[in-house]
Amino acid sequence: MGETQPQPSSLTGVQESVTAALGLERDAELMLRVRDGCTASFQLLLERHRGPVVHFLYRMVQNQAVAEELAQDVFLRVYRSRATYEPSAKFTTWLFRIATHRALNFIRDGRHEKGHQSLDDEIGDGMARQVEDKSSTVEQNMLKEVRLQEVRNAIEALPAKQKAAVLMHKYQELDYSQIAGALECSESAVKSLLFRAYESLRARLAHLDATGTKES
Amino acid sequence: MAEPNRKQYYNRQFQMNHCPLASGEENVDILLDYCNRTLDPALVDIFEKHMEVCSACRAFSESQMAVWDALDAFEALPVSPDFDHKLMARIAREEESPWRRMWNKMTAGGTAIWRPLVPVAAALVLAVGLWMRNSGPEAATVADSQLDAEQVETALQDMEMLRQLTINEPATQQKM
Amino acid sequence: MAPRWFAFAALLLFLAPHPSEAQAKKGAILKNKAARKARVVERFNKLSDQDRERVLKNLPEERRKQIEQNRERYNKLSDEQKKKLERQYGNFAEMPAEQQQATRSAFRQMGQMPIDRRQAMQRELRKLRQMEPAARKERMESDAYKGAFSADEQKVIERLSVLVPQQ
Repeated sequence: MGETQPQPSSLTGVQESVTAALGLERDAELMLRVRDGCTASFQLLLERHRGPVVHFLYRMVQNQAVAEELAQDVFLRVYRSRATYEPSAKFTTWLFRIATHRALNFIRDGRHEKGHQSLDDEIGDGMARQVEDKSSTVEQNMLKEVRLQEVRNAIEALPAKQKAAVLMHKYQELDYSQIAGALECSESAVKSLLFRAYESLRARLAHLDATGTKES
Repeated sequence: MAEPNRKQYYNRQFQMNHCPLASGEENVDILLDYCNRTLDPALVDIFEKHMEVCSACRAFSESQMAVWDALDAFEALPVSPDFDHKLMARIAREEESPWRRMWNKMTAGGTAIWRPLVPVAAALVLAVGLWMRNSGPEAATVADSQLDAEQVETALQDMEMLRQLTINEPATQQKM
Repeated sequence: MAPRWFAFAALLLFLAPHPSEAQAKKGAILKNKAARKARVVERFNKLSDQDRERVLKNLPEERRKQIEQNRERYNKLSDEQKKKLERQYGNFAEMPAEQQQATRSAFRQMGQMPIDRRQAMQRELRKLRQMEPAARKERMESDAYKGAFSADEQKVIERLSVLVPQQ
């Protein structure tokens, strides 16, 4: 970790062959370039992961402004860690581990609730943006809004770790080992978290049918 | 588990009438993967055969698929156009800070000026460790004053489980 | 350079505990951790209503209600039962996290089984608890036992039988 290295502006021949030999993923390769001082590679990493990280955090804290602020912290942390970065785990796993820590700390510190109240207008605005569909009738939009609110409430009611596991599984499509890496637990613990989380979601959302209307 | 072994394993499990739903949460991935349509096609056949005779798995799959679809309603919002600009500005501000410049030199520079600090840091860690060892009970008392809600929740749930299983041993279980 | 490192190594050797002492210490730390975990409920119980509210303030209503229900059930126990339960919980908290998780999972599985099967399994667990380890093993390998419970039920019983109380 702490070994000092020369800082070329791009990968050296030796590094390139090592990278190829190890079959390192593209992200890890970019991160190694960032370590060597290549800012353009950081920009590329940002382009690849900005969306997934912000979206994950948005669903965790349910507030777009807060999610973007937390995502900034995540990428800043990635940038700060460039000098000591070692591609020992998959980059996405490492990135989501940082994002999950950030979100769980935010929720644990109770800033979550405060932010929720003071930014109610923005949440309302976000919801409206999400459900508004010009081709639908007002009634359809209202139904969509009710459905969205129920889904948000059901996710919000989950314990923080279960919530993180479901969001990574459902929306980020991470596999069990990646989720385990991000949550720093075993794969069987992830399966257990997911089983319990989906159990709660099934109980809360069972009354919604596939078209988004409530069953009578 | 490697894929061919996994296939053999589930084949055997299902033939022996071991339902993945009843055989513990470690097998729940087969149900979840089936419901989000990512299960290996070879395993899909095996599982669907099992579902023909297992109403519990059938019911689970139906409700899980409905939840899976319902969750699609929670779409994410687009990221603000100035996200990168703000981040880069923060990075630039940090890079200008003298402390950060010193840290960068220590971690990435070729001079390794941090090396002499290692014994000092190790001695500090030792001193703190010794201090904590000698003041253990007091430290624990300070920590005792802060309770974590999730810790309390888990402890109470576990105690309720143990109560049902080992203390009262009632005929019926309450839902946890 | 060298004398400084020698001095440092000597200091480390001087401070390092004896292996058997370290082992005992590790055990004591585990026990302490388990005991601290077992005291969480007691500590939570001793808080004022407002302080309890404060601890739970960030949890959704449903989970707060569930916590309150579990606390009430605990408070209804006699002092002797509470002590027994705390001892049980201390033992449970000392188990590896994976085993704890497997036990919780088996308990939830049992909760989903039909009531007559649940009752039969609870009766069996009660019986097993009163047996000596060798007799318990013999019982769990017997044809009568295997005939009375399906493979899944046997697995659940096996997992829950780790909760056999320390007499």
